Amino acid sequence: MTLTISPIAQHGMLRCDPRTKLAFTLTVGCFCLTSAGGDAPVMQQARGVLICCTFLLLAGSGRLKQALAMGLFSVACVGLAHVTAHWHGTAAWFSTMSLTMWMQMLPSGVAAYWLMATTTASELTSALQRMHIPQAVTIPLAVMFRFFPTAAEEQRAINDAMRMRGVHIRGRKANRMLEYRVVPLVANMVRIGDELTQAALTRGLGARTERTSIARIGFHGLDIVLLTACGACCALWALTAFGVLS
Amino acid sequence: MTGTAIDFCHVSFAYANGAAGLRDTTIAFDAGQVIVLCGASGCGKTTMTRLINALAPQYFPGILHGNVTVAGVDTRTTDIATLAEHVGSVFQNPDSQFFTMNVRDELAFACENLAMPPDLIRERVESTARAYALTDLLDRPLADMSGGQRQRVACAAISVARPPIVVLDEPTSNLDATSINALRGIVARWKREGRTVVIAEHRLSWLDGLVDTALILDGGRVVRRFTGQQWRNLSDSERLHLDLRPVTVQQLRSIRVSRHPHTPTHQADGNSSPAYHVNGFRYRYRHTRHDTLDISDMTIPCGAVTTVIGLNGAGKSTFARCLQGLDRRCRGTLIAPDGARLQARQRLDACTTVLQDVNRELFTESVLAEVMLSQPCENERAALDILDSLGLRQLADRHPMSLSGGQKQRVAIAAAIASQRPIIIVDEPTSGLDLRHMREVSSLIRGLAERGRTIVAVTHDPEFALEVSDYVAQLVDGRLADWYPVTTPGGTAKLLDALVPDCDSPLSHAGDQSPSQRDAGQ
Repeated sequence: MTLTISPIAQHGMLRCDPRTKLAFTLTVGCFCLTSAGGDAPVMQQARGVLICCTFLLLAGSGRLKQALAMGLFSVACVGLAHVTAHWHGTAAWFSTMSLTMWMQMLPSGVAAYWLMATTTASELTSALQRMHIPQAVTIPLAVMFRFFPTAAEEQRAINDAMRMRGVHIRGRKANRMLEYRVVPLVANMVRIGDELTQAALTRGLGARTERTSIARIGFHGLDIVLLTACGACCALWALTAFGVLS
Repeated sequence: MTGTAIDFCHVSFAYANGAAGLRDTTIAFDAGQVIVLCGASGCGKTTMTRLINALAPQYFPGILHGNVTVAGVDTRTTDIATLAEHVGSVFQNPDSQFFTMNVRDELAFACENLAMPPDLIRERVESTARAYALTDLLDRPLADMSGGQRQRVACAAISVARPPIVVLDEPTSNLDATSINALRGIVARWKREGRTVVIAEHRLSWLDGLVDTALILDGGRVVRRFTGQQWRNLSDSERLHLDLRPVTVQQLRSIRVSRHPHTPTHQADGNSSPAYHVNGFRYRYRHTRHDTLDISDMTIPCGAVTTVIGLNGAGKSTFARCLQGLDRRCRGTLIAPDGARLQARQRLDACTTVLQDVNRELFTESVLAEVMLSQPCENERAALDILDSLGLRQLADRHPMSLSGGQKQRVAIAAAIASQRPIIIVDEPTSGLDLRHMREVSSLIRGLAERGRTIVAVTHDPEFALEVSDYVAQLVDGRLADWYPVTTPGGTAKLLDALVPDCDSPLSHAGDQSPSQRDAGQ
């Protein structure tokens, strides 16, 4: 099992609009990571629903194994948290701390992973364009999608070259490893960025103020369900904040 | 479209950074022609392509005198992106000319930028994919494709917008014979469709029969102009006089090498010349069922050049990585002449590789430091001697990244010499080199072999392979399909058959490899 993020375009029932995905990921982040809404029982239940949704969405997007593994991990965290709750001393404090941290971070991580793994760069940019976000923002974002895998590949190749030339942790030049790595990496990234820009310009990027896109985006059944859920969470938060619900 | 497609009127271009450009050039190309630009590195042919697609002076700053008119449009007043409707560009490096992650988005990219209606784009993407035999690959990630497939995608991606003019800058540098043949098919198609095709190239024979005009540039000027007929009839001696690589397939096939068969110096008796033996090299990518590489036995004679050839994706680069000992997933040993069995860890210290992209292996702040980094014990005198022997002495204090491509490659070779490791692997050392530089590299490599180093050269370049090889190992689908000394009767013919695109055959789109079979590290 690997956590690859090369996006798989979604089809059928489970396809939803990138804007929905963004809203959902933000909602999960808001309520699970930063615990907005406090400890009100209603909010705890809403959080539970959000977390279940997150895992189901990931599983439904064709990454069943990853969803199961992370689901099991979070169940294990909850179980352990129950056990360590009865402990005392530094060990208890430390384990509670780390388990709580995992439990808070994991749902947002899963949601972000789902967002990345199901959205192609072209879907994302056209969704952002419909939100009237200017090309000055969307184009660099699209480049980033393209750039990270290239940077990773470049990094691997430089690593190989360093091992081949005998620059490694046990070697006599160990103290200069960082410097040696940075020079070719930066030089190559600049060159690749340069070539990428030339290719993009000669294929008309920036010729028009508006681009069109073949990405099929738009709101469907699942979008309505998810956006309603996000709205409901916010509504519950407002209601608890004003003391209507407790 | 008839009439003049591209018109240079007293055009001079000087790069702002001082690099050589183009000087007072007046020339016009008729629409529908295939034009090839040749000449040594730095002669101005790339500048000419950049002037056509307006990258110069709009992206590469510099001073432009005169007028360049492309498809009736002045390139000075039209921006690059708008010119994209008229001019499509294919570049040398297929890795860095993609903007998206999969083939479908890539094909749509140009049309999306030109704000065509989505349904029209979808239709064009489908029809273009059919024409370029990419239908099965439409939803595949670009990262999984071989060099040949990527270059085909690059060609298709500009065809979608149907520009009347196409510019290619050294498009075959990283391609094998089959992929070059496919590219030839694409150029022929463009010609049939009436497009004007301008190609800046060192390798020329793949265009045999397609060229309508050939220009030879030198020092930023057009020094010779040939019609298609004159070009085809260019004699071998005149071609050599002009420092050109073979112009026709026939010229390429008739290259003769005058070299004596490799005679091992330490030969004890007739059968046991010293050699390394590859034993049970196996490599399997994750998530695949078959070995990408499976070589049970292969001989690499000492003090000789063994050339490893094969199509893109046949496992050549994987083999080089395994031999170097870079990958823990690779199994197998290398048996040294003294009987020592070298595992991957020991091979890291027994071999050294001059990478295809030398930028990845130059780490230090000066050429001298680069060479000394490779020495088992630092010795400035010895390092300077090595630099001397490669004509790099005066560059000793320069930063490696500030050198030209050819100089960087020589620095990498100097470092390989300094490492004193017995086996030197060179990966595609001549991609994108003109005749003179290719010869320099091959004589350098011959010299290393004659001084007792064991050389393994991975290459697609037929002329280079002919010049350097003592032995040839041909890989097919990761298996050793053939191994022979070049000097055996019929050896050169076999080598040429494997490396020269067969232009007589129907233009096929063969050469597709599954993603698991593509070369590692490319």
